[in-house]
Amino acid sequence: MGLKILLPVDIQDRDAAVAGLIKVMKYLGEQEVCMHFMSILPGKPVPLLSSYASKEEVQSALSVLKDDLTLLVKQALPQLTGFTVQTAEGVVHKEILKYSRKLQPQLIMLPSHSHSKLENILIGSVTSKVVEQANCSVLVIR
Amino acid sequence: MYNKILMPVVLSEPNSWKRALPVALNLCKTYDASLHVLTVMPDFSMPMVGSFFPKDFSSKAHTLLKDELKKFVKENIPEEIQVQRIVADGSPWETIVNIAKEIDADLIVMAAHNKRKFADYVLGPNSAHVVKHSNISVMVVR
Repeated sequence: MGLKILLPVDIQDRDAAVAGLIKVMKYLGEQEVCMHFMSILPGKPVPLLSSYASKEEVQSALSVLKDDLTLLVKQALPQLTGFTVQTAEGVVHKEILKYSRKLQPQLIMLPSHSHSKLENILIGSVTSKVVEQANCSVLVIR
Repeated sequence: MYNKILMPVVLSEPNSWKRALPVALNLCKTYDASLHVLTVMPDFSMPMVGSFFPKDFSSKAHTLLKDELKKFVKENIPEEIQVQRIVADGSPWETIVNIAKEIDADLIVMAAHNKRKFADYVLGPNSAHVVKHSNISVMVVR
């Protein structure tokens, strides 16, 4: 297989996700690639709260997310054959980095949303955290 | 898909282009895009410091940098690729973002050098600033 690429997808915003995927495919063209899609269930910010959600609940949510993501990818990119789908629960940028350490892709593609300037300053974006801390090349798509 | 690719380089640091240049050239060939090589001369952010340098320092440095960039392009970029050389001064990331806007580039290819481990963790590297503030796609090569 060719280039190994990790592509985190935010499934909450479906239209943006589909648009992002289409842009990515345009970028790749006819290159042979091995796509690894990933979606993250944002964890609860307060550990105390998360202890109320049982493990099974989280597991079932993750499997639903996985099916959803697989469906989305198939709909958006019918021509793509070989790909893997991964889901995780936790802090978004940490999970992306964790998985990328395991997977060792050559490239991480990030379809970036454009939040307002103020939002970016206050919360900081997942994108910039991944860019700063990743071990491989990162392509931010706008 | 891409027409104008901007690549910022620091001429004195081969790390800043050793890896990014092949990627940029590859992209240029694939999309038949023109390459815009930018080098930034940092200015003195404090007027106090600037006053210690002779008056013609800035203009002399500018010409020197121009020549060096010319040499760099001649040595490293094959002739069939359309190249524009740009020398600018100011704060590096701000200049990169501004020039990208000015020339209407659609992709920035830049290297990340994570040399200053601790400083980068606290301040964030140049590349992260560019990613945060530019409106176009950014490829960070590692």
